[in-house]
Amino acid sequence: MKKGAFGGSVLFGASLFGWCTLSCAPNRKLPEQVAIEKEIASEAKGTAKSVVSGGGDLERFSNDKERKKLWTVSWKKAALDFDLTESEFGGQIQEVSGTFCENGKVASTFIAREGFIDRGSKVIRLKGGVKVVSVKEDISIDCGELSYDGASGIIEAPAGITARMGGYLIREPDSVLAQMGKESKAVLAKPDLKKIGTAGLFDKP
Amino acid sequence: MKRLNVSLGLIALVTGLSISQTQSPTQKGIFDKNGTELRVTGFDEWSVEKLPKGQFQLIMTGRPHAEWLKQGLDLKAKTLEMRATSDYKLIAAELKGGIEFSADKQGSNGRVVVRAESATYTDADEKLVVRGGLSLDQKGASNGQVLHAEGSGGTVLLDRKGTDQNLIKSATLNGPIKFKLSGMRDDEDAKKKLPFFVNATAGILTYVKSEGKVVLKDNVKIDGNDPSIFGEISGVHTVTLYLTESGEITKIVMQGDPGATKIEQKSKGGGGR
Repeated sequence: MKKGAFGGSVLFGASLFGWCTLSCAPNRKLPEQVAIEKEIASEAKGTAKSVVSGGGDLERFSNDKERKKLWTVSWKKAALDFDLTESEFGGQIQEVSGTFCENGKVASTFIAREGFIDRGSKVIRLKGGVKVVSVKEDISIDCGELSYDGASGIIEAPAGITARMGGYLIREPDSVLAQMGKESKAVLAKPDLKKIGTAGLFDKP
Repeated sequence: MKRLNVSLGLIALVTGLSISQTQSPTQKGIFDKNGTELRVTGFDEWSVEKLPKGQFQLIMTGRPHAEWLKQGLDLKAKTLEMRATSDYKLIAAELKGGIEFSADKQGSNGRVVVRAESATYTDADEKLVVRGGLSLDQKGASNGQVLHAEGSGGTVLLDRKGTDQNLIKSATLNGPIKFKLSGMRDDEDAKKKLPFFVNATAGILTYVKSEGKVVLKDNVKIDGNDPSIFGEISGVHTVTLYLTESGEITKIVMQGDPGATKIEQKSKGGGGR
């Protein structure tokens, strides 16, 4: 997979060509960068388009002047939709991997079976065998699903995570409670995983 | 009648099942490293943060139970806030709500248990500052000595690494104080051990191991079967119990208020009355 979106080596389908030409016009601000390896099918509805693709990469940036990188994701298969006017992608992706960023720098890496990207949102949701590993620390978390809000810089897992810090293991209680349909407590984490905790204590200084 | 018994049995069975379901232990959080070094169990909410210099901060609520196995410290409370080194050695802890702090003497079976409303512990000076109604128990010292004290807060300095059996280096407890010391002592011929006890109430208690004495002050009432004591004595301003390293009472000095009465009874090694 080629990084550095919109490179000549990336193969685009005919339905994407016009959008790409529009997006790559001089002085046009790109809210994100995306590279799609292989288009399988596409459909146009007004200014919105959807495409079922093979592998691809996506980098999402902040909307401010600094355009800090919030997160990146790569996938092997996807059903994407995008808006020609907003130039932002969304959709469901599969066999995903990527990075969570903090202040524009990669803070952790992740893998998951599925991912969900909402168009116009800074949130990426991951589901199925989710694993996040801190880049600098010997810390990782495993869970069934989580979301990362690039705008607030917070990872949130609904319940049932296992965290590893050094040789230590945190098996938090919510996995069983969630299975029983009882109240469960969301777990929050910073993108570098230096701080992890349930919502009630996460903000405690 | 038989049918009634069967019905009652069924009701009891159903009730029992119902109770066992409602009382079944809720799955609680676990934080550990293969059961070594540190293990925290029983928490509902939690937060773990890696601080600068590699330190960790752990905050747990619910009914967390933290066992610092390498250091011989055992902490229970509704809320535990703990700071640890990068290799998970406890630096300091804040215990809030129905706390129980236990410390083990390294290389012996000596143990101190403090129960109170809240407490702050710092490991560098082994200092436990206790707030609210407290009870302090030391067990496992030589001669089967058991020390029990109750108060309304105070400061306890521990000595977990010292070579002697006594875990408490010093203590200052605020009153109202209830104090009890019991153990075994030599009889007159030092041929056999006899049990002894001393009970006291006071306004304040101080203990300094290096000086080998417990000082009780303010309207002290003292009783016991140690031969150092003759009858129940009350209204004394200050009572000082002199102890051997193994916790036997060598003498008791009483000083009245305003000091008109001073009674000193040196022990001759007698047994209980």
